[in-house]
Amino acid sequence: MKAKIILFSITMIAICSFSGCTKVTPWQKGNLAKPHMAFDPDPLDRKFTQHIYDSKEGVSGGASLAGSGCGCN
Amino acid sequence: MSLHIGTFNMKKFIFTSLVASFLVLNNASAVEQGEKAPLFQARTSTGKIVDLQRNKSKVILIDFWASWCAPCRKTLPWLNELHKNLHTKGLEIITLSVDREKKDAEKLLENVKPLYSVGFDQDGTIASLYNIPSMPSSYLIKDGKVISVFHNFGDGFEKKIEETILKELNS
Repeated sequence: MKAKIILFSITMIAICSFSGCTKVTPWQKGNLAKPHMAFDPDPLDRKFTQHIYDSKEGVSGGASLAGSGCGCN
Repeated sequence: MSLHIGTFNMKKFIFTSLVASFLVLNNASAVEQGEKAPLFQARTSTGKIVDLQRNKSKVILIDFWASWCAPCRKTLPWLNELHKNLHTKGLEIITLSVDREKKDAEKLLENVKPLYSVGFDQDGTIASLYNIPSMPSSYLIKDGKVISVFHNFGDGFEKKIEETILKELNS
């Protein structure tokens, strides 16, 4: 039984240690700051596409939400 | 299935193991005020070595920056002003770029034309030593000890940092 417990705990620790989750440190966030990682990499292009959409549909607005982005509003 | 094996509580054991492994994996803590400043050496773009040990007796401002970090880009020209004003009074500024690509940092430096020392920490070794919690981060060091730590420079950070440095230079 003792061997089973040891094996179980080693497995649990191994699962925690070798999981895909890793802490991205602040100095490693350069890739996240690249333009192609942005949700909206080209604001001008988005505005243009939105204008075409608005003309086609005959309506405008509602494409974005107001708020601080903190999820508190 | 019962998880109780005699007096041994399996649930408690699993929980403790998980907490322990989590703590082991996240044991690094950031360098705080009052702690000994980790020593380092970094190479500059001209091949010179920036050595913290050599400047140990001075008041040193270490600034971690990257070309992709917007607040850092604002800080670099201001550090030139700070160097102009306070270098003669005994302030040594050492900035460390954590850019993976050295050319990205050098491109930015072409515009900034730094008067202070710029070292490169491409693999993040020094950043790991200090375990910086955010970008930009600055450490004011005197006699090998961290006097002040500055993170997330907001409005009016220049005045706050300059006042702290002046206080240390005059003490």
